[in-house]
Amino acid sequence: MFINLDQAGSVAGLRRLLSGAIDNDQVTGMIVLACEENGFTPGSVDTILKQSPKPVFGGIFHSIIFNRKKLDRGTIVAGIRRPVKAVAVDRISEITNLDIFLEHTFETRLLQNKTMFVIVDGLSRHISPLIDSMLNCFGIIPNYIGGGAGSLSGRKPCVISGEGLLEDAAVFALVDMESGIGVAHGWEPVAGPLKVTGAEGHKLISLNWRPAFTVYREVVEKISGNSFDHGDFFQLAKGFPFGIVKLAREMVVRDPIVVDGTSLICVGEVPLNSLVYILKGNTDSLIAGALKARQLAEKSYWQPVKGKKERPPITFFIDCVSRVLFLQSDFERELEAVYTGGPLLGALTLGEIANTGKSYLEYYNKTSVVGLLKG
Amino acid sequence: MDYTIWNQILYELTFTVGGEQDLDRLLNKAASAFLKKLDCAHVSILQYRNNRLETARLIPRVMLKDPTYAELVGKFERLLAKDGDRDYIILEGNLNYYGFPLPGFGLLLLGKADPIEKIFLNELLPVTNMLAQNCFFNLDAVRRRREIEAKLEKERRLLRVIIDSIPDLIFYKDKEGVYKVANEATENFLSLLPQDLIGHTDWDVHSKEDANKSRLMDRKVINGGRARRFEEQFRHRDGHLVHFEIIKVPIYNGEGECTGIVGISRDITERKRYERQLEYMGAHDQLTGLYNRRFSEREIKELDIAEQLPLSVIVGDLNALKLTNDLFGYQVGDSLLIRTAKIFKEVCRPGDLAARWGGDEFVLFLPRTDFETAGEICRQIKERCRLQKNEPIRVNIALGCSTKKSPGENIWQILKEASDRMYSDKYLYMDSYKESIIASLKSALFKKSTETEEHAERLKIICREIGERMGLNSGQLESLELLAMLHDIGKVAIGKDILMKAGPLNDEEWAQMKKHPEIGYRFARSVPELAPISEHILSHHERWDGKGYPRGLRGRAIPLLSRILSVADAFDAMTNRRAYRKAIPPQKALDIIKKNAGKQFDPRVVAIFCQIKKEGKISRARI
Repeated sequence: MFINLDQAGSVAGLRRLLSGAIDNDQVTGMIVLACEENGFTPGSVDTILKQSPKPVFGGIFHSIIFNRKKLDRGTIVAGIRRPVKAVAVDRISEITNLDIFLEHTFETRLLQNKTMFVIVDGLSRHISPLIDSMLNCFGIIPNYIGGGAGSLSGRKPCVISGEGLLEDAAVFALVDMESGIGVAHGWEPVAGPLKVTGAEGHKLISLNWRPAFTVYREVVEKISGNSFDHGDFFQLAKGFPFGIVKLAREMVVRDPIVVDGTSLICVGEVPLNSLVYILKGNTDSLIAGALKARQLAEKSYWQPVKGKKERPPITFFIDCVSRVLFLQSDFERELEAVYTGGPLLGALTLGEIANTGKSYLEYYNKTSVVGLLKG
Repeated sequence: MDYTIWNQILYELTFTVGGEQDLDRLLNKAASAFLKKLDCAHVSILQYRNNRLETARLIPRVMLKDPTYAELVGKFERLLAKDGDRDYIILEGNLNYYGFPLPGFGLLLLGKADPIEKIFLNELLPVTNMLAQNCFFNLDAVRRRREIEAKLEKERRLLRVIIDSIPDLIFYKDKEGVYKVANEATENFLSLLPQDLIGHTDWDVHSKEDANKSRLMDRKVINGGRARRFEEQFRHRDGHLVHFEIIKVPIYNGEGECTGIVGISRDITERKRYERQLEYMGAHDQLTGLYNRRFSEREIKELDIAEQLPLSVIVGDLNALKLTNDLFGYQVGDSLLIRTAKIFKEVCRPGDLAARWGGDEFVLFLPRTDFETAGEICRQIKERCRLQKNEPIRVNIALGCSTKKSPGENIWQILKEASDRMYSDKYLYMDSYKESIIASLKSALFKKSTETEEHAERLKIICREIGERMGLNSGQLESLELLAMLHDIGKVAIGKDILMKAGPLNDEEWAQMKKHPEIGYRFARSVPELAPISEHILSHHERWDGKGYPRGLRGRAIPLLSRILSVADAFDAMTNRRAYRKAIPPQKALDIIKKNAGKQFDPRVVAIFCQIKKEGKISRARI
């Protein structure tokens, strides 16, 4: 993989890096990770993207990661040397039958021992159905890694594809590349398990047959010593997300972001009848989580590739943007934790997508996903 | 394995596979739940169809195209056939496969990288059994639902066929006037296929005026909340006007809210035409086109008001209608009536009412008309009659009029007065009228048959000479002359093709021809002037020897005048050229007559005729 960075984050820089990759005969497709601050718009970059004769995919994120640095401005273009097939799905909320649409995009035999990069519009309301459809169609035959592109400041076109810069869209890129994926977050249960006795999509209505906010408030106010009556709800809640219990796997984190009467609105779906814990994190546990993600990825990586540790693989690091907000300056320690010595590229996302080893595909939140790629 | 979590998983799985009423949704939910809760790489639910396992649900779906998947299913199929009573079947490999038989349905297949411990597999059994039961019940429900759906579909199709077979236009419009359902009659009514009408409004298929008309009807039905019947004319797309009977019924939903209108439109253009025709026929005389008596009597009530005074009435009676019918047939009689009606119509002014009152009676009501003007109109009628040609009989009407001048007078009395005056008129002009009838008849006879007026004149002279020689009185001689002129009057009613036929007549034609003495007899009986010779007309083809017709009278039973005519007619006929033969010399004709004396002819008449001829008077008869 040829990884290049344009720190200025200019359109000209993007054009230059893409041209370089296109001109390189060894490159078969390009990953593009760009910062929101670059100010890319469909008007400024669509022509460049559409003119690319090679598959191009990626997204615009709050920040990107290059080696051990978080960049708030700049563009990474990584030229892939393995066969790539990229498919963009525009206006996912308008597609009534995603299963049938996706079923015809890739063949089974093409999926095995490969890595599927998935970049979605992180503010699309149809991410959960999209993930379910991916699972229904492709199962966990390939390794998945990706996340939600987009801005914390509102919805904008943020999915980079050969069809241009898209909104409410997703791009899938199947790369003939073996990989190891690790998922961890470092949030620890402090209360629970609680049964989800009432839920509708993102809305958590009741826990243990009691109003969700009442239960949540009792626990969080007791542990934190703070009250929701003083100050913004999310300021206190962001330190106490929910964790959905999974069989022998890392819990899936769901942030409660808004109170709706006695219900809580979460980022991502909370299934009815599932068991949840209330989690608490601190700098050390979160950084330990990232380290765990790296270790899981390494464990997974060295199994399928079955090679000796000759050359450090490329690290593709998808980390939740909320972790940066939580860790602040300690985020550098998180980057150190996932750094393997080899090239590292990544992005801070709105939700993370991965399948952990041979378990099923999930849409995560507040989580670190480390992908080790055989460049 | 954390048992708390495992119990939760079992609970969630149990919850997922129970309670679902739709098989498709059940299979989707179950496959997805097993995949997620048990962290499987692959889940499929297979269903027995024709004793083979077929995939009903599969995650991931792309595996369907993978040949190894078909092999896997085949392998499980064989294992089940071999030992189907096992609770579950395990196939270990890169992925460990667990097959749970679903009794009465098929098989649940789980593919998982990490093996599932036996203790957990056993604990899954109640869940898989519950899934099996639910699948079975839902399958049965699906089968029953499909049966019901098939039945409903059949009924729907039948209903559709019935609706389409009905020639009336049947449609359903929503509240906004958009057509939602229509039968195939749209093709005839609107020159549109039903699918071309559906989704459109009246404004798309009719003129603005007609669309507004239709919408107005819709509103009346919706606002009135009940079915209503309308009769309206709409312009067809090809431009012609169509009269519709439309029944519109408001349709309500469960909440009692009107959702639209069902309508049935029937083309009643023909019916309307018949109705108009019937109405016309109810008021008019079919033959003459004048108003009939029933209608007129009703109208009299409308006319008999002060505003219409003076109200005059003319009563007319057509002379000789029966005579004409008897002699010339009903067609000629009808023609006489039609010509009479035409004259009445011609003299009618706007507001006047002409009617055929009875068989040969006509009445003319003249509102705001005084007696003098009515008299003038009578005169106009007579004048128009006079100007008619004899075809074959001229229209001749006896007329009488009367006038109602004050409201106190009874219109029926006025009508009677007019009628009385009409009868006076009839008697006053009877004689001249009869003369004109006889003249008309003679003219008709000579025009139609080969007989000429000259022949009649010759016969008259011969007959008179024979009659005088035989000592007949003047009255008998006058009758004899009249008989000579009109003995063949019955031929007027015989077809021209028979009368003018050049060759000999066939049996049927002869039978027709032989009817003319009887026809002449009936006619002569109906005219007083001819009544005295009616018996002679009937007998003019009888023979002395009794071999004549129509009655086969013999000798003196045959009236004398007829016997005289018989000899004279035979002689004149033989000695004059006919279309089919040359003239015979008089002596030869005389010889033939003499030869037939006592056979065809009266010997005494023959003898007298021979004497006259001998005396040289025969030449007079040839004038």
